[in-house]
Amino acid sequence: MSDLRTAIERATPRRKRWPWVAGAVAVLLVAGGGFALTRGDASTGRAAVAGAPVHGGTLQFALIDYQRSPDPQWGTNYAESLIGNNVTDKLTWQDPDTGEVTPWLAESWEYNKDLTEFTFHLRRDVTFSDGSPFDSEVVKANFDQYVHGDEKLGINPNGAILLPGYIETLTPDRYTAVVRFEKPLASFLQASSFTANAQPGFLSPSTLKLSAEERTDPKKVIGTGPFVYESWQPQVKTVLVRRKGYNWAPPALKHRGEAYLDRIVFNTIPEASVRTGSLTSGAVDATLDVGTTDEKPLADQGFKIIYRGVSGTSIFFNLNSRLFPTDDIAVRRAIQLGWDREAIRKTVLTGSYSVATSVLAPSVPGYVDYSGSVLRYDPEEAGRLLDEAGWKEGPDGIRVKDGRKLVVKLLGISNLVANKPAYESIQQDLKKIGIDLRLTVVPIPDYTALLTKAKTDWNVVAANRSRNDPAVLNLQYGPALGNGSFVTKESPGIDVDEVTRTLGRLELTLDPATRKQYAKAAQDLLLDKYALVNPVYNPSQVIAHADHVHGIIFDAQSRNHFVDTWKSNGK
Amino acid sequence: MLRYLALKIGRALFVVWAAFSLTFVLLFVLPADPVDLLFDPAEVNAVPPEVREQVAAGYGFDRPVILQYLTRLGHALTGDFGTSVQSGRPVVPTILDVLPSTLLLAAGALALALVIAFVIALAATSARRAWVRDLVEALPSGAVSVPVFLSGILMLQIFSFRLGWFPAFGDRGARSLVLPLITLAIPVSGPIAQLLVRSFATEFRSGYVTTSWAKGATRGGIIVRDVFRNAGLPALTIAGITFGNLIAGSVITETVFARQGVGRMTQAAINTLDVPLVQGTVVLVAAGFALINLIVDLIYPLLDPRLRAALATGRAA
Amino acid sequence: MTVELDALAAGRRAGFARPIAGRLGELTRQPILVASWLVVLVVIGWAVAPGLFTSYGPYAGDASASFLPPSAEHWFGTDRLGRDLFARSVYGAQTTLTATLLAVLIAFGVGTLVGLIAGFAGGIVDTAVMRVIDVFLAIPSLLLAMVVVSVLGYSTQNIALAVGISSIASFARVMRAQVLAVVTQDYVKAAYGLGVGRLGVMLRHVVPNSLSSVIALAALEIGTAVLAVASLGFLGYGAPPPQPEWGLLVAEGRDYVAVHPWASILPGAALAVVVIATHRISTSYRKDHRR
Repeated sequence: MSDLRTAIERATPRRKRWPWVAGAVAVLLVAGGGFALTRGDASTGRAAVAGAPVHGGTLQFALIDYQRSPDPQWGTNYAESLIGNNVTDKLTWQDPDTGEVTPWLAESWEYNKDLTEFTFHLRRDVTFSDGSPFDSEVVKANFDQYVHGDEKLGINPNGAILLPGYIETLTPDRYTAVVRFEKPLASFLQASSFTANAQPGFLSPSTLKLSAEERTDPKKVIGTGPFVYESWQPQVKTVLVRRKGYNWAPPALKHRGEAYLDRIVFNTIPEASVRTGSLTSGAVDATLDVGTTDEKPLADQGFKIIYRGVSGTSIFFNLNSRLFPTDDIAVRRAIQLGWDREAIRKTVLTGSYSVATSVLAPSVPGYVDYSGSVLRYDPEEAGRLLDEAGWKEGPDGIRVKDGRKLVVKLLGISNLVANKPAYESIQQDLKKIGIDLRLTVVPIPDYTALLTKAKTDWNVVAANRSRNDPAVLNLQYGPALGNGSFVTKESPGIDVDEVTRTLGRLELTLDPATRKQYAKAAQDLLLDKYALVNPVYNPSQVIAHADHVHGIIFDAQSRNHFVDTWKSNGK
Repeated sequence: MLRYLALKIGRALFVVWAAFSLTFVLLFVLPADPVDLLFDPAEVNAVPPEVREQVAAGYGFDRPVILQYLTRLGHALTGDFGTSVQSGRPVVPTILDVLPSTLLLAAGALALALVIAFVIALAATSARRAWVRDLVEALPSGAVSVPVFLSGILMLQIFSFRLGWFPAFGDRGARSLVLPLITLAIPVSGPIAQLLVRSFATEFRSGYVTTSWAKGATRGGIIVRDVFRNAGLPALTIAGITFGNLIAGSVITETVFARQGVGRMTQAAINTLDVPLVQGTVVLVAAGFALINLIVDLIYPLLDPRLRAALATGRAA
Repeated sequence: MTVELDALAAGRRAGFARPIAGRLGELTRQPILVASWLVVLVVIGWAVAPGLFTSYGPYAGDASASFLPPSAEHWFGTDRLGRDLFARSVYGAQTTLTATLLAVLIAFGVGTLVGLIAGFAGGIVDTAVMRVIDVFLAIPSLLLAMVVVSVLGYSTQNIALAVGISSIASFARVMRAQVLAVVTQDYVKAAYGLGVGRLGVMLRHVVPNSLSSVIALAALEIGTAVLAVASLGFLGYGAPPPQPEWGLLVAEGRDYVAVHPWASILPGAALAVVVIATHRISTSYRKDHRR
C-alpha cells in the first residue's frame, strides 16, 4: 500500500542530483569566503597627526585575557597585571631601556651594606582616588598584607614569592618607610618597581580592610594610579576612567598631570582572528596579543606594530641534570647545538620576536650574548659530542647507549601560540642527529599537575619567567629555590655548592659593575660549563594599533601604561 | 497524577544530587592541585611550602576530602555554594550574572534549531520530487560537518569584518546575537532534523495516516494535523537532552564571539579547578536539565493520546 | 503516465530481494552515492597506505616553504613549518579515523547495550540505569572529557575515549526509547504468545527493530565525533605534536584564517566532505532497509 503511494509520489525517476547542487554551493561559499578573506581592506587613508597630544577620547583596547578579580595585587594573567598597572602606582619605576631603577612614589632611597634594609623617602603630594593620603603607614599596611595575606579576609599571601624573607616595614616618620629582610635581597629594589603578576601596587587603607569578596566591587578598589575603575565585567571587559588631579607619573616618563585619555575599555577577545578583525574593522583602536602571522598584513594596511620582548628569561628548555639521558652533559650540549635557529626565526617568529642568545632576555641588565659560542647551530659538532660519549646510531636513526634509546621527554605549556611550532621545529632538527624529542605541550592546569613529577619524569621543562633583573637566574635555577635543572648530589659531574654560590651572589650586591660580572658568571655556568639550559626564543608582547593612537608605553616587564597615551582624533 | 508528579520530581532531585557528587569526585580525580593554579605557572615550583599550606588552609583544601564534600553539600542544600577560589566572589551571583546571556543564547539557538529542523523535515516529507527530498535530507549531515569554531570565525570574517553587518564581539544588543545564534543553532539542528525526517516518514506510513488519507485528507492537512503532533515527541525529547548540553556546550560560541556566559565560565573554572564554581554550575545545569525533562515528561501525555491512555491505566514507565 | 509506470516498476523492484546486477544498475543511477563511496574508500586508503597518495612526509618541514598557498605542488598549501598540508591530511586520516571509530564504537556499543537493558528489563533496572544516564547528561561533557584526557594522558586514543564516553548517554536514551516503542508492538506480543523466550524475543525482534534509529544516530555520531575531537583541540586538548590529526589541523589553522585561509579551510572542507559522504552512505542503507 505505502509502496504504491511512494511510487506514485515519486513521479520522476530517482535521480540524485542534490550533491552536485550542494557541492556547487559549498564551492561557491568557500570561494566567496576565501575571496572576502584574502581581498584585504582598502587603505584606511587616515593621516598620521603627530604633534601635541590631544586630550580626551576613549581607547578601545583588545586583549586575550580578563581580570578574574579587580584586586591588582592578585592575579597571574596579563590582563590582571596590565590593568592593575594603570590603577595603582609603585614605589619605583624601572627604566625599560637601561634597567635603571628610578623614582616614582619614592623620591629617593638608600639601603644598608648588607642589603637587608631599604629606606624609601616618599613623595608628599600623592593621594588615593578616595582622597586619603599616601604615606609610610600605607606602605607598611600594604606590604604586610601583600606578604602575609589575611586569612580572615580571604586574602592570599600574594607577595610572599616576590619578597622572600620580608620581616617588617618601619615608619620612622610619615614619609619614610624602611623595609627589612632576613637575608640580603638585592633584587628587592627591582621588586619595588615590579609590574607583572601579583604586583606590589598600593591600595588605599579602605581597600585593604575589604575581604576578597568585597574587592570584587571595582568601585571599592582604590589606588593612586592615573585611572580609576568604572566597571568590571568578567569575561567581557574592564572600563577605566581618568583620575582627576593625578600628577605623579614616574618622572622618567616626562608626563605631567593627568592622563590624556578620558576612558579605556579593555575588551576581552579570546580568538586571535577576531582581535585582528576588530582592529581592521575599527571596532577597537589597539590590540595586544597579535598573532604572529597577522603582524605583516596589519603593518601593510597601515597599522602600527609596537612590541617589547618579555623581560626576564627567554623561553627555555630546562634540562634535568639527574635524569637519564639528560644527566649526560654530552646530550645537553648536543641539544643546545642541534637545532636550526634560522629555521625558527623564519617560520615561527616575526621581527617582534627574537631567537634566544642567552637564558636572559637582552633587556635584562647583565645579559651576555652566547650566539657565537654555545648557542649556535652545529649539528656536526653535536653529533661528534654524542659519538664521543658513546651514543651510537640505532636501526631507526635514534641513538642508543648501553641498550637505552636517546629519548628526551619534554613538558611545555601551550599558552603561547609560537611554543608548539617552535618545539616541533627543534624536534625535527634533533631527530636528524639521532635525538628523539617527545613533546607534551599542554594547557596550564595539566602542566602544573605534571610539573610536580618533573624531577623524576621529565628531561625538559619548557617555560619562561618574567622579571627584569638578573637575580631571576637565582630564583629560577638556585638549587635551594626554583632549581629548574634539578641540580642535586645525584647530578653527575655537577658541583652543587658551586651552583648555589654562583647564582646566590646575584642577591648580594647592587653595584652595577660587580652585578654584571656575577650575572656573566651565572650565565657561563648555566649555559656553558654545565649546559643546564637550552634557551629557545625571546617571547614578545606585541600591540597593533591604528595610527591615530600614540604613546602606549611598555614598561620593564613589558606591561603597558596608558598615562601618556592619546588619540589624535580625540574620540 | 500526583504520584506521577512526585516520582518525577524525586528523580529530578536525585539527578541534581548525583551530578553534584560526581563532579566533586571528578575534580578530585584530576591530577592538578587547585593551590598550584593560584600561582604563576612559571613560579609554581618556587612557592615556599609554608605559603602553599597557608593558601590551602585558607580555602579548606587541607581538610580530609570527605569532610570537604560534606561541608559543601551541607552548604549547597541551603543554597550556598561558597565563593569562587579564583575571584573570591560568591558563586551564586557569579553564575546569575552570566546566566541570562547564556540562557538567551541557548534558548534562542534551540528555538532556531527546532525551526530549522521542522522546516527541513516538512520540506523533506512534503517534497514531491525525490531529488528535492534528497537534497533536503542531506542538510542535517551538512549542518554537523563543519566545526563550530570554524563556521563562527568564517561568519565573523565575512559578515562582521568585511561587510560590517554585525558587531564582532561582546554583548551589544540584538544585532550582536544574530551570528552566535546561527553558529550555535546549525549543528544542533542536524540531529533534531534527522530524527524528525525519520519520524515524519514513519508516521506518514502508519495506520492512522492511511485512514485520513482514505478519508480524502490532503497531504498538507495530514502533515499538520496528524504527523506533526505525533512526530514532535521525539524531537521534544532530544531538545530536552540538547538544552543541558547547549548551556555548557556554548563555550565555543561564547569564546569565538567573546560573549560572557556559563560555558566560558565553566571552562575557566574547570581549567583552574575552581571547585565551588564548577559545582555551582553543574548543579545549575543539572537542575535546569532535570526541570526541562520534567516538563517534557509532563507534556508528553498531553501530546500523545496513546501515552495518555497508558498513564490513566497506570502503566506509564 | 509512462513515467509513473516506470517509477512504479522501480518501486516494486526495490521492494523485493534484488539481484546484484539490479543493485549495480541502480548504483550507476546514483552518481553521488558512488562518489560518496569513492570518498570514503579513498580516505580509508589514506589511512591504510598514506605513502601511495602523497610523496611528501607529514613531518618533513622546509623552512623556506612556510605558508605556501595551494598549488600543483602543494595541493593544500603548506603550514608554518613548511610541511605539506595535503600530506598531513593524508597521514592524519589514520589518526582521525581510528579516533572516530573508537569513539563511535564506545558510544554505540555501551550506549546501545545500556539502553537495551534499561528498556527491555524495565522496572527498577530501568529506573536505576536511566538515572545514571541522566546524571551523565547533566554533567558538562567538557569536564568529563578533560578528566579522561588529563588523567589518562594526552593521546588520540584517550581523546577518542573521552568523546566516546560523553556520548554514551544520548545513545542509551534513544535506544531505550526505541525499545519501549518496539516492545508494545503487536508482533512482539505475538512472539510472546507463540512461546518465544524473553531472550529470543529480544534478539530476534527487539534488537533489530530498535537498532535502525540508533544506527542513524551512529552515522551522525561519526561526524559529531570528528568535530568533538576538533573542539577539544580548539580548547587545548589535542593530540600530541607533531602527530597530524584533522580536527587539530583545522583548530590550529584558525589563527591564520585572515591571512592564510587555506590552512584551516581546506582540511575543514576535506573533513566536511568525508562527514557528508558517510551520512549519505548511511542513509542509502536505511532507505534500502525501509523499502
